[in-house]
Amino acid sequence: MTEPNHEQNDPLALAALEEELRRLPRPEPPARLEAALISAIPPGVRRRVPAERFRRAPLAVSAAAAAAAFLLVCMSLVVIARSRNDEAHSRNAVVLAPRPPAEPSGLPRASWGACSRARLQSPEAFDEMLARDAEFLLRPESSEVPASLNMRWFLNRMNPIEEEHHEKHSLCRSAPGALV
Amino acid sequence: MSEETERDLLRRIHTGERAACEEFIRMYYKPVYGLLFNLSRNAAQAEDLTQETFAAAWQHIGAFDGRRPLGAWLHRIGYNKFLDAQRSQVREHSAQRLAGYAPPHSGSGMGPVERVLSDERSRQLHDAIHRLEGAGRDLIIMHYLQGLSFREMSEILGEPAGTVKWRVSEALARLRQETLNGGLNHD
Repeated sequence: MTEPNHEQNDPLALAALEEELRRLPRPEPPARLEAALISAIPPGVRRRVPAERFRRAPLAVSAAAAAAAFLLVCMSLVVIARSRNDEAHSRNAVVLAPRPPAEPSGLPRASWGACSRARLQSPEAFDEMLARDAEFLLRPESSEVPASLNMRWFLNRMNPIEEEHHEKHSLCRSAPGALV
Repeated sequence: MSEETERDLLRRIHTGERAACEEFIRMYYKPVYGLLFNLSRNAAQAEDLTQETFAAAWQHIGAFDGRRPLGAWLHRIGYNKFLDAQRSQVREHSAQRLAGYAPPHSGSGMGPVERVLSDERSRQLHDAIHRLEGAGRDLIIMHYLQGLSFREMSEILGEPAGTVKWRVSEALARLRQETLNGGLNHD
């Protein structure tokens, strides 16, 4: 690039050059150009969506998308929680479902309400059941776990053997039909 | 063209009024063609680029908000079209040189510049403009040959008006040197 020197910067010469440049003839476009440009006007030249609204639209869309995504996540969590809950219930059901059949006496087993009802209906059968449970709790090695054993109900009435109960608690819980 | 008239024209174009679109063409196609001819020195290319410029303008005018001068906006499209064409020409010539292909000579007949610039002195001045390095040529053409203001040029070139003014004066000094070297004197 040539550095401007004093001769180049002569104001009069520069002014004359500027004037000459402005006087240079302007090129005339061919006559067909105007007609070609007019015939090329597209039919639907219109104002598009205003810029502000156009800028806001993606925000609204993204907010809606975020809300939808949040809702989807919440619904997924609910579904997962419910399925886990069902699974837990079904696991419990595996343990609890095969309830032992009713005793020949017709007494239902291992239920607080059932024991109470048995007591009211047949005091003899109830005493018998109680004796069986007590025997097991006093000597768990020598006898089978009674299906009717209801620890909480039993302990409420047999306070003296509470300590032994605590030692055997885990064993009793695993007994079929033992709802503690 | 006043800002008010320009805004009114743009509003009418935005409502889809065909007469306003034709008015827009009649108002600007000559200056745009002039810019592209002076830059390219090729009448056919200037004609093609003018059509491309208006085609691009129709595509984008719906979103044009009118905050900038309409003419400067259109000139900017045209100038970008010219720069794109120039870049693709450079690539084409490089490929031809690599392939050992020599383009056919245009002959000794009158070219488009010779037809426009009938006197020898104008032709020499035009040649001197095209010998300028960098963006000097474009600045001189826009300001002196097209009559664009520094503000309009700043819109086209994306530079502050003050910077454009300084660059134009610097380009003018270099052109003066070119004319001196070429034997043209303005004293």
